[in-house]
Amino acid sequence: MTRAGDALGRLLVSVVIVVILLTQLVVGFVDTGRWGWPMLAYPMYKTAHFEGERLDHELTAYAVLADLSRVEIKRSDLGMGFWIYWYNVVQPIRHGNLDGLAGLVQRYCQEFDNQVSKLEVQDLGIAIGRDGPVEGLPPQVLFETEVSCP
Amino acid sequence: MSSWQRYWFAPASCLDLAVVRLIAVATQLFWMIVFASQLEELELRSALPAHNWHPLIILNLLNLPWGWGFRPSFDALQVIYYISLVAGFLALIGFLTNASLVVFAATCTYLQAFLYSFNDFHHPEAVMMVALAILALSPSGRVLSMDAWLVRLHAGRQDNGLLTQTSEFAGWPIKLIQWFFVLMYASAVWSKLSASGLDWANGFTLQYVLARDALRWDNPLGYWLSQHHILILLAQYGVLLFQATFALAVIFRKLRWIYVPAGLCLHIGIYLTLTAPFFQWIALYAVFIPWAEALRLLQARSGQMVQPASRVS
Repeated sequence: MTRAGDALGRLLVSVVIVVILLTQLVVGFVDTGRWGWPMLAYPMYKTAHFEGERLDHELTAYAVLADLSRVEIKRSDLGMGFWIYWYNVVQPIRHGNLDGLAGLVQRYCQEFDNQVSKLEVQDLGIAIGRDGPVEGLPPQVLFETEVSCP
Repeated sequence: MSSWQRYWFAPASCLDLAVVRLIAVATQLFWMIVFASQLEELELRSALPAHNWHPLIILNLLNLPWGWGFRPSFDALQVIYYISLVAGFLALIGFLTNASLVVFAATCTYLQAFLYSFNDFHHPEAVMMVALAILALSPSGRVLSMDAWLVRLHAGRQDNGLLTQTSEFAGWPIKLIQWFFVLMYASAVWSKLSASGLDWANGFTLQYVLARDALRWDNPLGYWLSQHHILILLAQYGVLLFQATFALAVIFRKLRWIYVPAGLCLHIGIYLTLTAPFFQWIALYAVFIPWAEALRLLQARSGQMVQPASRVS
């Protein structure tokens, strides 16, 4: 490479270095979620947990019908793996994200004669204790969201 | 020469960079083909309904010629996947290294961005995408490559310059990835402290995560560890200390003797107990190892060991 070429190369590389480090610095401290991927914040396991808190290792979603009977919304019925189910079913119910649930509500409303009134998520009844998991607790409804069939 | 130039563009070993290329590309290929079974994942997600489709910005940018929000078919993804594999193998053997790395980085980013366009996303892969893009702009094929072999063949040279070849453009990619690690760990520690304060390191936080992930992924080691409160409490403080001070490993080279094994233990431990596969991070720790220096040292030692033997004979 010529001396001028080297200088230009160093300038371009310097721009790359500054852009990458500055972007990661900003994104890393101002969590923009997944949208900036592959430049990300790293908030893995950031939430503090406390003694007695119930484990959310396996949450089951239900469609609650007008007669208060429950229909399990199974991962296998939706063709979803664990994480897709988690982010597209469990989390929208948790946050009451009706837009995110529109497709699911439509499907279950069609299947159950427009009788779906609520979606809810239950745990399996295990909490964390000082000596490890405490099993055998009754399942609990952790989140629920009212919905209405179209 | 300014201190910026001295830091980023000091002549550095081409071997160090080439080893990082080999490890990074091999890890990414392993991830795609074996561990993540990416083709099956692509097929699974391609079958999801339209209301689950939330494309990432980078995917929309890469798809811009087809319109914002364009969703590629599984057939198209398959073609991109195989192009990616070919580019990866070429980058691994170092044939048309920079061009191969450009294609490999772009296609890997495209495929992973597609997989993360259904609301679901995780953290191991991103740094590898960035690292591959950085390597694509570097002289990582100057040694340990078909390209280098062809140049030597053409020039009729015997010496491969493996340990001696340096370039002022061989150091910045390694240093940049090192600082990228610093920023990732800083983000991780900042997230914990800003979300939970020092309550985060109460022992129960990691016990909870260990138990949850052990039950979720059927991990007996994680379940066992979740029963040891004091040990976990200490480990949580250790994690905060490690992540908050990782910059020291970049600034003071001698401290890498502590930070690199500690980091490797951390990520391997996370995999064994939480089933969280941060293989890309483990592989990219290669940027902290001075491969050329280590090889020279080994050569010198083996020379010393051979000398007395030759005197005897």
